[in-house]
Amino acid sequence: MILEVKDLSVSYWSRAKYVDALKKVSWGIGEGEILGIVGESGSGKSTLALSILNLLPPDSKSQGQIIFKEKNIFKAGEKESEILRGNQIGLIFQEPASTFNPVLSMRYQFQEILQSKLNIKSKAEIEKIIFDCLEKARVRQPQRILKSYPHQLSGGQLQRIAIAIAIALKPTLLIADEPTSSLDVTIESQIVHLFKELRAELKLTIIFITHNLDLVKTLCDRVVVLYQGVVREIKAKDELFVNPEDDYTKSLLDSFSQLEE
Amino acid sequence: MRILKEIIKNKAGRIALLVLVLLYFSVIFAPFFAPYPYDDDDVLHSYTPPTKIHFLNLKEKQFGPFIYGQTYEVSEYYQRIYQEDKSKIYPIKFFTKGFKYKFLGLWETDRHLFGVGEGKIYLLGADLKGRDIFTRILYGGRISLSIGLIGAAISLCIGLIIGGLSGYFGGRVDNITMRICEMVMMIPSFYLMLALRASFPPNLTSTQVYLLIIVILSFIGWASTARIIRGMAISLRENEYVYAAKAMGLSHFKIIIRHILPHTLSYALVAVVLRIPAYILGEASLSLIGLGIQDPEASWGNLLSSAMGIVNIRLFPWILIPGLFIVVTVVCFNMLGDTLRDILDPKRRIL
Amino acid sequence: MGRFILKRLVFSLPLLLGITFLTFLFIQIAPGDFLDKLRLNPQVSQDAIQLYEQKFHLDKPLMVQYFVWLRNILKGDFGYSFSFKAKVFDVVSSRLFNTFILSLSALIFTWIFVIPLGVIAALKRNKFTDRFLSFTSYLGISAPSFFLAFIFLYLATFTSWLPLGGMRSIRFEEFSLLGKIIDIGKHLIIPTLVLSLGSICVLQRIMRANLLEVLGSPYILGAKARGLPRVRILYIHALKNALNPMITIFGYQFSALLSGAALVEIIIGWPGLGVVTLEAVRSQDIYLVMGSVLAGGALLILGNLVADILLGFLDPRIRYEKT
Repeated sequence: MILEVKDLSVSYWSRAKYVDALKKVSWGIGEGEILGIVGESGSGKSTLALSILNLLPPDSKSQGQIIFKEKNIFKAGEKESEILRGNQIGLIFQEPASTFNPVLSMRYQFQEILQSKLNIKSKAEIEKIIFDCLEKARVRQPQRILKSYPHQLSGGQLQRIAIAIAIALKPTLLIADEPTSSLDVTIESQIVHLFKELRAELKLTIIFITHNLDLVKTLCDRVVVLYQGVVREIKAKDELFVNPEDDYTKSLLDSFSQLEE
Repeated sequence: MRILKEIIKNKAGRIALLVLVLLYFSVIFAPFFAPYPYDDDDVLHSYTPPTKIHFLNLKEKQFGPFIYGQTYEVSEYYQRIYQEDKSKIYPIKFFTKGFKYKFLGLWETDRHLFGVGEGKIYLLGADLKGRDIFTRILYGGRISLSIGLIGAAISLCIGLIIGGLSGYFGGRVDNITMRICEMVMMIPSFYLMLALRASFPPNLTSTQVYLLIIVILSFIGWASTARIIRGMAISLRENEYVYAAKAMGLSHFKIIIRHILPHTLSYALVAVVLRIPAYILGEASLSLIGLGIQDPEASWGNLLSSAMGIVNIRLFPWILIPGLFIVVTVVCFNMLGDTLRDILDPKRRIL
Repeated sequence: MGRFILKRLVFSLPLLLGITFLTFLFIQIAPGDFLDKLRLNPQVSQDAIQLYEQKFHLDKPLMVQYFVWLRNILKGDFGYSFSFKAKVFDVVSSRLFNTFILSLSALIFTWIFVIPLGVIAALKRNKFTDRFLSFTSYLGISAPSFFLAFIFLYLATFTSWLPLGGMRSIRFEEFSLLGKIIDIGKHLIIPTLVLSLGSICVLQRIMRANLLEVLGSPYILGAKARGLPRVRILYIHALKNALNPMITIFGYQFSALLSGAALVEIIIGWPGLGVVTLEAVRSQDIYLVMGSVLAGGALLILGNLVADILLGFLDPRIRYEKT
């Protein structure tokens, strides 16, 4: 188990009271796995992603443990968390356009991360890594893309860049929080395919958060079903689709199969 | 009115409203609160410091507030040094007789809030001509405070009409009007004021100057109000009831007046309240440099003109007190405006 | 980028034209024609009046007069000042420089304080420091400049080294170059303080609000998630984006400074545009008044233009509008 979440509970301060986002959630992911976390909006999926990287808002309450490489990293200090983020654990967001600084070029933003996080002084080396990763992420016309600003690029392109940046830091674990939810279906399948390739090439461990069971079927090894902040079921993919135990999982699969027909 | 209640609920709004009401009340009844007429020259008391009020004099068995008489010596620099003349004691009497005036302009009376009989009490000191500054602040407040309100009201009317028309009709009319607005707003207001003032002879009677200042202030101020109203008119004209009214054949004018403008009023109110300080300061600046209200009439800006000589500030710092009144008024209007804005903020509004 | 600047410049011309027209209109508002005052003025000779009547075609309609005036302006002839007995252009330009120095000094002084104070207030949100700054800012906004001027002058009388007004000391000409600069600098202290205080209070609050808004935006979260160092995020990403909207304010602040400077100049005795305009108004020196207003308006437009250009420079979204 590379990452293990034990009894994680998180509540947010909203409209003069605390609202539970996660209630004693426990699950784990092993090396080289692709774990899918499935749930509808409001189930707490994004909160999970943020918790792992200690990005929860300061006015939230939380308890529990998150064990990464045998150390509890939950609520670690700023310095520790900074080292963790990017280098050890990468995060890909749902809306790529909003996660880039609109007034800086993509080249600047890419370079900046490599320079800050990888401690490489040589410009040539950085260039090489950038182009390398852009290639791995199947980014076309990398020169033009690098010169552009976020608002000039499409969602698909931006997401690929986000992925390129993430893998450039060679993290052990990559968390993808609904990475394709804001993209067209055609681009979506491309990105999912990309994840598969990357897992094979770079031996990445991936947590793939989504509400789309289709993608789960294609991509994931094991699945965690989340509903209203509570883990309902954890099973290997095939088992889940064939033999769901939990009621919610069952109804989820039902509506899913209806769509399929 | 609901808005009033909301203002009172808010702490800042409460204080601001209270202070403003007090100020306006005092200046409306200025002659009652003032012990002397505002143009009561008394060279013997030129630049008298504020009179000290005493409460206890055991020797003469005097209890209750009173003041001493005043004499002065001339120093070697030909400066007057005022001293208390303890031989003369003047008790402060309340609701006493003083100079005659017309209460609210209606009936004659000579009762004042307080007075000292034959002595001279200068609560806040005296100016160059020996006139009581406290009195002049009260009378001056009439001008300063009223100009602010009237000017703002006129600007509001002009702004409502122009902004409403511009926003409602849109297109070229709107474009041109907004360019003109921007241009007016672009000219530095102080220079604009001076330029407008320059169009008229420098020495006019105070009444003429009063009206002139109002005209000038409105001329400068309508632009920003108009812009706000126009913005709102644009969003309001897309409402269904406007289309309905048009379909029923209501004339444009009536639509604007009955459907669009009433909805802009609450925001217009906030905009106006926040502009009043600018008008008060505008009048004060003009009077300060001698282009506004002239002597012997008083206005708060006018009262500060003697502060233009640095020597005076050093030796007679009490002449700056009218400035304090201006600051307090401005702060209160700002607080009131902010409170109003918070109340009318759509995120908090229930209606 | 050059196209962008050109576009802005072209936009400014009609604005300037509009200002000149409005200014001209004001003067004509006065009942009677402006030469009446000249006729009453014993300093002006009969010949001069006849000359002016001829030159300004006072029998022709308003628009013609305006265009004549405009034509003269384009030729560089701004008219003649009766009170200063010199060409309006000379009088205005000499004083313009002084006002410019003062406004510039106030501008720089303001921003030296606004940025750090805004950052501190945002970072220590709702704690004591923030509330204190908020409160004092509120007072600062309300205090009128002339009152502040009086207070500062009053305080200055207690020190022996702070000049009490004016721009140069009596023995100015005797100083070395460095001495001259220092002397003007000393005289700048009080007017700069007075002018800046209001701006600092207003802008600090805006800076704080902007920074807080930026800090809450998704790309800051994105940068944080990617593990960028906190310091870097704050000063390079957050601050840069928070400052952008302030740049437009920069231009408007300049204009507000020009307007506010006039009154403070008059009170303190700083020989700038404000003092000249006042003198012109007092002596009914019409062309001087027009010249001053025009100068003021032009400086303003310049300020806004600079602000627009700076904004285009810093925010690529505006530069590449067509993409």
